[in-house]
Amino acid sequence: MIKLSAIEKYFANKAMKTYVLRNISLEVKQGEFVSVMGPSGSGKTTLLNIVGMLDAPSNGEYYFLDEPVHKMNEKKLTELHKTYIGFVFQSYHLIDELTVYENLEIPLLYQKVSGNDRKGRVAEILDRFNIVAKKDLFPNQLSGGQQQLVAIARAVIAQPKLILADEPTGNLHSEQGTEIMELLKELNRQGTTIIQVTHSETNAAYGNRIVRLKDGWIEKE
Amino acid sequence: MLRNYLQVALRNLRNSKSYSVINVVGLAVGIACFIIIALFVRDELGYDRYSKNVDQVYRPGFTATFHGREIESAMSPAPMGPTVFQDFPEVATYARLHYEGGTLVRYDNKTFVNQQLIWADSTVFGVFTLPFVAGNPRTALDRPNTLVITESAARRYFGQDSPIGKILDVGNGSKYIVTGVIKDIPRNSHFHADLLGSLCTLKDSRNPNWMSNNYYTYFLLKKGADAKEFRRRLNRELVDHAGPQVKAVTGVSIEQFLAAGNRVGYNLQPLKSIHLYSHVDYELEQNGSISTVYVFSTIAIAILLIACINFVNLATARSEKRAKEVGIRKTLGSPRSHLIWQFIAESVMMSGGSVIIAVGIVELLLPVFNNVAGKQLSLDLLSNAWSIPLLVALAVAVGVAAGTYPALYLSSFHPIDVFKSNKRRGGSGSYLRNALVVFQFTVSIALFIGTLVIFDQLKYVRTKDLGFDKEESVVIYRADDLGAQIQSFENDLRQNGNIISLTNSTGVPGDQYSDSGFWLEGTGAERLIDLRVIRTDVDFARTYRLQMAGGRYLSAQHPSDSDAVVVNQEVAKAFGVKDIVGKYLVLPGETRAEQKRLQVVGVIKDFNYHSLHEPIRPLVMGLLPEAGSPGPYITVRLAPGNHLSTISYIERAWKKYAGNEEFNFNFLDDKLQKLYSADQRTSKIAGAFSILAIFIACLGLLGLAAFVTEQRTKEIGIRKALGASVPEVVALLSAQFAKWVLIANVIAWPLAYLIMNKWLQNFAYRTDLTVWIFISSGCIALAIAILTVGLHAVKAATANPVEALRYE
Repeated sequence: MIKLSAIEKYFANKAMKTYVLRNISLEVKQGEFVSVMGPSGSGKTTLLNIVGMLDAPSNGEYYFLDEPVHKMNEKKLTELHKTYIGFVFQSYHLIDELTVYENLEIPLLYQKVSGNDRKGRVAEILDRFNIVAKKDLFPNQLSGGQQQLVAIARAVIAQPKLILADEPTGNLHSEQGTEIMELLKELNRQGTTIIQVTHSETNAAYGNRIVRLKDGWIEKE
Repeated sequence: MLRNYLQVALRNLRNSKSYSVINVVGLAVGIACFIIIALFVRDELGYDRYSKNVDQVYRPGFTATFHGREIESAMSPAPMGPTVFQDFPEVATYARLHYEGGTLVRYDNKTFVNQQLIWADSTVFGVFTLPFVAGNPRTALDRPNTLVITESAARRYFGQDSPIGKILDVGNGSKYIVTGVIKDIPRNSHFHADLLGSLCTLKDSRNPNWMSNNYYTYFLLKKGADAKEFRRRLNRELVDHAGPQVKAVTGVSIEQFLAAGNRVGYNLQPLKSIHLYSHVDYELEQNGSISTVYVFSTIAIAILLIACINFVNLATARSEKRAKEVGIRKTLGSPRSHLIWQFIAESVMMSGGSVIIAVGIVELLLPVFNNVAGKQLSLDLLSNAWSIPLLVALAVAVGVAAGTYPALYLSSFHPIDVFKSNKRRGGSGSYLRNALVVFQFTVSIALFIGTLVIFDQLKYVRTKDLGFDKEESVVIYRADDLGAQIQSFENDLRQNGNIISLTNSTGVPGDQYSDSGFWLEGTGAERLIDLRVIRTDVDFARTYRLQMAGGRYLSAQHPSDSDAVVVNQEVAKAFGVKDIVGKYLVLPGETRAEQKRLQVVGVIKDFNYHSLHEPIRPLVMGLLPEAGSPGPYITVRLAPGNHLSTISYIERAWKKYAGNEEFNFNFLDDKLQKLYSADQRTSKIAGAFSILAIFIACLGLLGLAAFVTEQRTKEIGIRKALGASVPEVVALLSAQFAKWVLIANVIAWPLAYLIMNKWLQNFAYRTDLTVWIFISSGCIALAIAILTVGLHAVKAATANPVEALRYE
């Protein structure tokens, strides 16, 4: 599903290049649950952003479902990532001015899902995540765990093939964290590919493969 | 999708009330100014467009250079209209107007004063579109002693009765029959009248004299006629017809006359540009001016820009608040174009709301503006089908103009940058933002300086020594209506101890005087110069406190003074002679035999008998004839003290001799002040708008100050923790804004200097541009800006530093 070969990322600064990622080659197959680990500044989030097409590599090739991402224009990229990829962030990133219901609706709006269909799917996901009672609340009326729940629901609603999670439990206390990890695992069982960035070995253990980064290199698998 | 966007927009507005209020109020005030000025400009540009053939109507006016001095007038000779109509195939029709002015109308024991009468050829309705309510436009004015009156005049005179066939008593007892009623002449016409009298009533309308210009002639040219060529032919026509007449009257042939460096001809003013472009002598009414239109349009656009800039600045400054949303939407698959549209739609929404508020403001302020501007503008929201679409278009235009840059800026955020915490946003646009604030203040300060300069010039106009004493003088109008009784009236006034002196004259300062060509005896007629002429009695100089530069004023002690004149210093200058006293002026008559020799017995020091817009022109003053035709004005100089009782004494005396006729008077200084009414209007309007401009600019500054202090909260906290005092912090925050205002001053000063210098050129006599005006404008702007910012600065500076640092 994902094939990275010789990916590099650096920031050119006057005469100096600061490398964030070096010679990353990585393949992720459909249905995997990969945990990316490494110390701060090792390039985990950058790698995730490149996989999620939010950022472009400086060098190297990236194939997503056998299509060459490194050759695509902005429009095609947007198209691809809105259809296949869902994001979950450490700080949830819900739109503060929209209710839970409206936040969930957004990915469907961008996929031009019709009104009735949209209602059905939002209702279904509210039900599935057990947050029907919260649908008219704004994000700041929810606890962190509830917000992350909504964020995952929003990532899932578009039925992506891949979910990218950047320290999804980083801002949560352990009980809530466990719930979220269980949820991701369940999604993986149902067929969604998941790549998560995490500091915690416990969380990494929910996945079936660990990639370790250090100073921009892949250390070992 | 739209609903989702709308909801975000509305909730954003609600969540940041002060921001929304600043934006909406600023935009609404800006748009309201813009709408009001747009209405004003539309009205000014619409003058005389009520005439169907406005594009083909032209008004020739006599223009000449005599001895190096230029004359430009709106009038032309009586025979021109009929002759040219006959000889020129491109002329479809023509009409002449002869201005009579305010006159008395009597009907059925009722007297109506100051009814405006214009004499007009019967063809006038073919040139101007003046729809008839009753009567036949073709024949209404084709006989002598016929009148066409306006609807409101008809209602005034006759009430509900049918006016057609009624006999009116006009002026001094002549009878006229009403043959037609027209709709009132539209407000935006360059002439107005209550009554149009048939021109053929006047014997003078058939005079063949091409040298005397007393008529307004309008030619309707056929489609496709070349106006330039028409003007060339008119000028040839003048030389052909006036040539023999000049020779007969002066003994000098026109060829000789022209060879001496003189020039005669006609200007040709298109009807549609008379109101804004024609500023020659003897205009029918005071015209507007295209420069006022330009100035006001510029102000309108500047104010709208200032308001839009607030929007841009606050939107980009606040971008942090929206950045997260942009990042999230992009990660959820929104293309940039969607975000651009979303933000533009938001700004259009806001400008739409502002337009609605602006319409309310306009409705509220329009009566005030009309009062100041002397207009009757209205928004015609319902009656004009274009109003609402135009307002919608305005809302969209303003929304797009103000929203595009913020939309492009906001939508350009990259999600990974946004999600990296602790990155300060809104900083990268700050150069542009500073530049825009500088622009706002530049415009505001320039407007402010402009207003002060106008006020200063008007003060100069009020206080300048005009060469005569305008204080404590009363001008009585229509004194000639007293006829032979005028002597008794004057004698009655002389009895009153509070009346120092009085004088009867054909003109008083501030009016248009007639003019005539004179030459100095001993030189030829080709050295002719056009002089303004008034006739006075012997007390004129004493009453006006004029000063003699040489010789004496006209006097009853010298019987020969009936053929003597007094001139102003300009006359001597114009003729190029040093000592003019004792010399003779020659005034041509209809024939050479009627030529008059007038001895100059005195030179009066130049005095400003016109408005200070114009330089003093050469003036000759002669005595009124002993009996029979008094001048229409009596000027009375009052002793200091209780003027009211003296005036009521004058009024009683007037009633004694004038019977029912209304006592019409004016203080001389008030009358002179009217010469500057247009300037006063401009100053009031410009003043109001410059205050609004500063208000809107400060509103923006208020928003920016809030943003900047918020942004620098941490810095302030650290500085305070390190021991900075409250005044030090306030100074630190204010300095940033003060810098912008100071830079704006540096730009605004030369700009305002150039523009206002140009404006002052309108006046022949003008105040100096003092540096104090510039400095005080700058200081005021600075003070207002610092006050605005200081509010936030003090709040930030007095906050507990622990609060400020806690969030980091």
